[in-house]
Amino acid sequence: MFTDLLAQLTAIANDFWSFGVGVLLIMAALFMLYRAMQGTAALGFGSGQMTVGAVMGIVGILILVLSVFKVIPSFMDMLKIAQPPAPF
Amino acid sequence: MDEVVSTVVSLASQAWESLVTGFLVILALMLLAYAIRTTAAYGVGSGKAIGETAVGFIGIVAAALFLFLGVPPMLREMLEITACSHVVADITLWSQRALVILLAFRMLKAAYMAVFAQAMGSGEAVAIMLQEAAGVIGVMLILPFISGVAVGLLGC
Repeated sequence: MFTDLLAQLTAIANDFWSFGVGVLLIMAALFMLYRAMQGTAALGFGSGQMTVGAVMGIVGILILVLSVFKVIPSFMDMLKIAQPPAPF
Repeated sequence: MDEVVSTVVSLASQAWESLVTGFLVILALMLLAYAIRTTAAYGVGSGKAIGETAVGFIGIVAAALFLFLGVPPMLREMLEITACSHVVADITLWSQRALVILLAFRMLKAAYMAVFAQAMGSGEAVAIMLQEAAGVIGVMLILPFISGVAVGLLGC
């Protein structure tokens, strides 16, 4: 009974995960583009500080997305190993 | 009666295993949702977003670790409280087991709520889960007291 329910939940979760990863990648790409345009415009007007901010923003988004893709799966693997049996 | 007890325990064990696996699935999705929220905030230039990410991730990780490493030993401890060696001994044991099953599912529910709420930005989610844990500890402290009263009243 519970196994069937879990299988259905896992199927829905797989779909949601794929959708979420797609959304995250699209958002990251768009925001990096936005930052790149911001940096280019700032460079055109001669604002060095704003250009540095834009570059830092791109690097920050990259670090955020990469750390999410590396941290979440490894954390889940760790928890799967530590999954507790029923305490009764 | 023993058959009924073993059937209930077996059913509860299956439910526990499925719910814990489900918790892992939900946890992964909530972490992803949190990451999406944070990327959006950071993308539009909110510097606070990274700090919030760290706090939120740690909250979700703490909730999961507490459920996985803290709750089962605490509940097993309750089962080890010695029962009165009298006619009521069996009833005491069954009641203890029923209590532990109920508390286990209550903690699981609290952990689900904590993860959902934390992923949506509530700062109090983990604190609420810890309050539930404090309730469990309170019941743990009351059980020996009840045993003591039973010993005093029944002389067992």
